[in-house]
Amino acid sequence: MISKDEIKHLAILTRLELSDREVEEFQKDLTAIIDYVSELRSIHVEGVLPMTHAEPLFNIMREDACKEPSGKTVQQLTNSFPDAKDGYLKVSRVFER
Amino acid sequence: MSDAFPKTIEKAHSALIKKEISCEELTRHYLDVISERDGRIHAFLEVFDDASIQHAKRVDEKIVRDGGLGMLEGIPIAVKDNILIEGTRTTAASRILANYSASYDAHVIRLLKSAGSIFLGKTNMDEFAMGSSCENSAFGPTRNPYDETRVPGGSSGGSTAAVAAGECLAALGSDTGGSIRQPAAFCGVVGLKPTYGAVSRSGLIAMASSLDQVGPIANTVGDTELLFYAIRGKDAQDSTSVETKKRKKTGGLVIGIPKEYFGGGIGSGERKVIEDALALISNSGVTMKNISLPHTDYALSCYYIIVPAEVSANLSRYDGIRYGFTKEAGTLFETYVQSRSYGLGSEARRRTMIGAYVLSSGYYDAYYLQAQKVRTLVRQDFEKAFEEVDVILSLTTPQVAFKIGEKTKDPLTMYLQDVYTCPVNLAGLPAMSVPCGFVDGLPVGLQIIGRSFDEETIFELGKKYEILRDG
Repeated sequence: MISKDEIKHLAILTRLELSDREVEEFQKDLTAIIDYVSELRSIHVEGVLPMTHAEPLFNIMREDACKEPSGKTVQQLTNSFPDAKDGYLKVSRVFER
Repeated sequence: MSDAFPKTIEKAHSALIKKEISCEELTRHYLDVISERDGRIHAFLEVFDDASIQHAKRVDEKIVRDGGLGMLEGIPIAVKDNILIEGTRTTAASRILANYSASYDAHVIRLLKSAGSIFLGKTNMDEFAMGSSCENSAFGPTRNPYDETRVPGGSSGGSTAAVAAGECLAALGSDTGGSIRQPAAFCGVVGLKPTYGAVSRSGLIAMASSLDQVGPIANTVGDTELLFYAIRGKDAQDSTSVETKKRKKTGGLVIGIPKEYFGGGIGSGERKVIEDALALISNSGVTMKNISLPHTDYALSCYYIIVPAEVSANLSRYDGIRYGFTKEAGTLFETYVQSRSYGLGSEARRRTMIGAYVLSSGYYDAYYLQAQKVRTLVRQDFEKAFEEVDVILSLTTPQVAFKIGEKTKDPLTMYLQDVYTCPVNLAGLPAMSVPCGFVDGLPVGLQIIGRSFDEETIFELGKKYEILRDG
């Protein structure tokens, strides 16, 4: 059983706010899902390599070149920002003065 | 009136070059069907009326000018709303992207634009492609054209419902664990999940990056094939995409029937339909072989650890800062929390938290690393089977389309929808769902699974089966 405190901690990690009712609902859902997928823990996997991707790919390199975006692209991107100044994204202060 | 209209891309193309219909008439026909039916079906989140008519007129001018026309030129298609079209709203059916306008074209869109296809609009889906019913859309569910009290499946349910309702000739969807094949089965259309890497994911809004693939949905295998060859290929913007070579086939086709896919959970009507379909194929002279994919039962658990882990990482970018929607609060941290809590729906939040859980220290080895190892075993099962057989057949889903609201209370019962489809994504293989009959008037899908990058054999068998079925 996943505890209510664990759910609240997961909510902080994932930047979510949950009401008391949601904490209860997610506690029930997550416990059921984690219980279900825990069946995997009994499978013998000695010597089996983990698979991170469907195709075996190795370092795919390209020139580390900066492509200047067109003015139109910059405009489209900044249009999506809640707040922008001179083509830059504007956010709240992160550090105290 | 709709009967007079060509029902496949191939027929529409031929009608256009013979000047039996104009591209504007063809396009208007689909826009008319949309305005007539989509109020109830709700397959579309947005329809590009003016832009598609303008495009159609340009195609007509070209036909008059030189008569030449590419196969997909002037063909009206629909696009799932997690695929970017520059300058248009792309929401992935999430509130957090409700105001987001795409700043570039997805690679598949760039290819279809140069092929001259007409984009009729963007289709509904489960939020960020998480779900099997389209009920997780922030903008309301889509209804199944065969029975409006039932779901169209998901997450590409808007695209499959649009094709089934005659609202477009074909559509694009995306498939992470069955999201093209399951709704294709529920809506009685053809849907292909290509081999991982066959189609670029550039411009597809990421859900689980090691599994996501864009794929075609259409009325026939031939149309699905046309669209697949138009969107496949290597793209520098997606380093996992590869250039594929057509395989050289040797000898007759050998078909594998995996016993694990014919166990409990299958409805009695569905079992009869698949047995009839297999008998039809078997009687046509191909070799059928019983095979075993022993780790099938564990694939679903493996999938529902790996997917939330990747979701948790991919959805962290939706912070209320960069993509349109924001809920300003006192601090940056509070802005993240307020924006995400309002902007992300239940399933997105559930998977994000499960992902954080299985990736956290102390649980990482027991869940995430273990699931990655089991994923290797699932893939090895298929590799071993494909030493003996060329394709594998099964039902796409154990049961036909369910009622709207029937499975929303319990997420686990919804996850069981992916039982026959998600192993294919884990292994990175191609698979297609083809309509193979009905149970109480609701469509059933036959799943054809192929070797990596051997879509060709899947199409070949699919087309052969269509002839047998319709014969």
